[in-house]
Amino acid sequence: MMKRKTSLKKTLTLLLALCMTAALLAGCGSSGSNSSTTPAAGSSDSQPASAPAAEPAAEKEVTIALYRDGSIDTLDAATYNGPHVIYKMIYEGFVEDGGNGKILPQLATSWDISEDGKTYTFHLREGVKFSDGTDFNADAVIFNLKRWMNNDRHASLTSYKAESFEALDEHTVQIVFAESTYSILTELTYPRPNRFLAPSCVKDNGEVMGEFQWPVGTGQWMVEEYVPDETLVLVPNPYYWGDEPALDRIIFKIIPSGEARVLALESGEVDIIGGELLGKITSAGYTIVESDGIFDLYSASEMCAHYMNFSQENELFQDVRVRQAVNYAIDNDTMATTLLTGIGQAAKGLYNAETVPYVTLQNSPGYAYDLEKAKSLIAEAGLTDSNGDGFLDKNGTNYDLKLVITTEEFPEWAEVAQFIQASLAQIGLKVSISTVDTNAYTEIQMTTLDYDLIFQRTSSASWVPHNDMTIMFTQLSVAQGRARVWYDETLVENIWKALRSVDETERQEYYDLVFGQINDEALLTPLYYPIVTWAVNPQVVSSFEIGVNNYAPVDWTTLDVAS
Amino acid sequence: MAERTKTRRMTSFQKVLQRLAKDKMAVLCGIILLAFLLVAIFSSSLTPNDPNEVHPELRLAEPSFQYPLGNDQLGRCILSRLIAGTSTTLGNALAVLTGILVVGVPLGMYAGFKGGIVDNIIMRLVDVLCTFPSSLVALAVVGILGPGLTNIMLVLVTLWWAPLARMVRGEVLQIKEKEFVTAARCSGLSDTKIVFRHVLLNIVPPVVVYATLRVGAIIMHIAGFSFIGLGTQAPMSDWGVMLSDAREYLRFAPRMMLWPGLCIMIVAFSLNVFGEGLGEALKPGSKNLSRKEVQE
Repeated sequence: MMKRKTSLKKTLTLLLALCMTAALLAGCGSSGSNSSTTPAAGSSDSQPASAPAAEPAAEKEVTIALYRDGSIDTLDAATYNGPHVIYKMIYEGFVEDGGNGKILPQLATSWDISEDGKTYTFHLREGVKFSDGTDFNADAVIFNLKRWMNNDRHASLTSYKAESFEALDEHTVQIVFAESTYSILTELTYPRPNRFLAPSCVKDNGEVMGEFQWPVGTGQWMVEEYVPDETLVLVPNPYYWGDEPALDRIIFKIIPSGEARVLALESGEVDIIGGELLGKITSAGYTIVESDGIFDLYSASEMCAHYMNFSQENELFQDVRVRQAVNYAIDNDTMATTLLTGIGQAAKGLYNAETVPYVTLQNSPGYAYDLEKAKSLIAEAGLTDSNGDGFLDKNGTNYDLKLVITTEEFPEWAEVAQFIQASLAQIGLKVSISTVDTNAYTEIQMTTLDYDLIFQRTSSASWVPHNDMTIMFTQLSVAQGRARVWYDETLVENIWKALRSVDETERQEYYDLVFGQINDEALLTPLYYPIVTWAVNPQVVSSFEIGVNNYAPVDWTTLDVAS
Repeated sequence: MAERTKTRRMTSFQKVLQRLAKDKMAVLCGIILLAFLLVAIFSSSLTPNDPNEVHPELRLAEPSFQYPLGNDQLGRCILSRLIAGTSTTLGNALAVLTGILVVGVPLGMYAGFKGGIVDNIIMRLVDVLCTFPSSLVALAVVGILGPGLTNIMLVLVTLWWAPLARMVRGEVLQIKEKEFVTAARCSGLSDTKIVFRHVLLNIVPPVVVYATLRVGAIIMHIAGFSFIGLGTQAPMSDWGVMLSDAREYLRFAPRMMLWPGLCIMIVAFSLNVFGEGLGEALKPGSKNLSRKEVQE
């Protein structure tokens, strides 16, 4: 009898647990549908209508979701800690990216470049102050140059090596770079390391290699409050030399999960979600916010591309016909329209010819879906299915290809990988998906190269195509003779020729050769070009404008609260 | 002689069945389990469609005649995946269970029967293993060896034989002191024969109950790891994987989550109720039953 009772008790407990789960789910659901009527505390301050009796001039605040911690206490420009976006808001460089390859003056009002393309003389903006009130001048520039110039940590940049740099007077600085490449000015727009910190940022005020303490820059914004893993609050820098922003405060809420970001927007906890480097909206999330019908949606294509590449060590992929067959067997159009709604556009060549410089539909046409052609290429390559199980084999053993992906940063890769798995099964290639965490992925991608197939993404914005080419195709120091994507001597030669070409037509010719070879020899399989999407709560936010690139994803100057 | 033993055993078995039959809930759960087991065994011929066939155009499609439970995010047939998942889920759980039994029962019996230093060593090892939280160890192992079902299953076997061994040892210690064992020893039977003929039979009932209850826990664990992406790998279908896949679409296709969730719940629940019913049914008669046999 006792036994019977306990089992009854267990049943009841189980039922109770079920009811509670159901209640929890219902709770989530209802908070979503109420979103239009109950904005959270943080955003209600910003609505003048809801607080007329309070302070007459309510502070104008907007809350934005951020996918990772701000790492403010280590936001040293000479490192790669923290979100790119925050670097750009707090610090400035010599020049700024104006979009479409335009370089705008920032802390340098003008610059002279010598005939040989190596000596750059920057004329600094006068009267600029850091957010702590100290002066920005040539000494501050030299202090910063000493921190990151010639540091091998930044070796993927062509601008990291300088023969010399010196202050000619209080507002003039001259740098002699070791290499003359056309991309130096572009690289100086990057969020790091080419930014200028106040010497007071580091311990012992101005000690070049002193320990970093707190970010102080000349940028439009400065840190007001930082709670690790929770919030980051920025307010306008009172000493800023340029336009004053419309807002009084920007609050970043740290929400790592994509699903949670959508819920936070719906509940009014945050007012803006989206953006490649602030926290992407997943495909499912996009469908949800779209069907809610109360949010403004924005989207823009960007310069990044996601692709799959082959292991150069795998004998199967040393045959160009097999690589081409893989390209023909994957239907990028169907994949984009079904699996990547609102977040990705079908890829043709490696890069999007519409957005990326030097890329044209002639030099990167890509491979249209053609299963029959794929099958015949496989047959031409002499691969057979001798045991009749539907998969290609060699001496009775199936080829089993390990496809490495990570789904923390790229949740959509899980489904894309299964789509690829099914697509390649059609031409008899057996694929096993190996999902690893971010750290393991980086290790595999950059050091061990332990895969047959792997999903990767290109760089973005002003990094493409020039920096990407060296990152993808030149030999890695860690894996002798191998490159991150594919190593080919002719290709690398042409890449360097393109980078060193000062003449625009000559550069285009070399890039045509480079992209042509990548495409014709199918050195990789382009998958899709991500689309950056935003969902904005129009009851709280107005004047939302997408910024020039991922590093400045929103125009922070115009962003305002709704009146 | 042999004939008579058989009939007697049959009667004891029938007694157990009779007692079990009185517990309606346990009988119902037993039938449910049997049904799931049959589905698992014949899964490959029962699936209406290829469980791994991708149809992007049918993404998240509503249930239809050809796809009775609708399609998942890649347009695969949910019913077929559920059926294929039954065989992976139950198959994996039974594989782990076999591992636990193969390691735990002999070690527990050896420790209990031999005693002394061997017993001490095995039992201290058991104590150590019992202190490890299995999920944490599994996470660590996955971190080192990489994700995969085999690793998770290995961890479960490595850790979960210990409590079984402890239980078996306890039973053996009791049985060892019984008169029939002494009698057997006096009549000159070797230790091996005593263990296999007399002791083993007597620990079967508690082990069966333990195993039935444990399978539920194993299923939950494997599903849990598959849910966070560390267990079964695509395209293999598994209830935990299906749950995990469905999570993102909970808001507009809740049916995707419903079915695998229901299956896990029903099977785990049935195993628990059936296991307890079985334990109840075996309990009062079990000692008489064994004594009779030994007196032969």
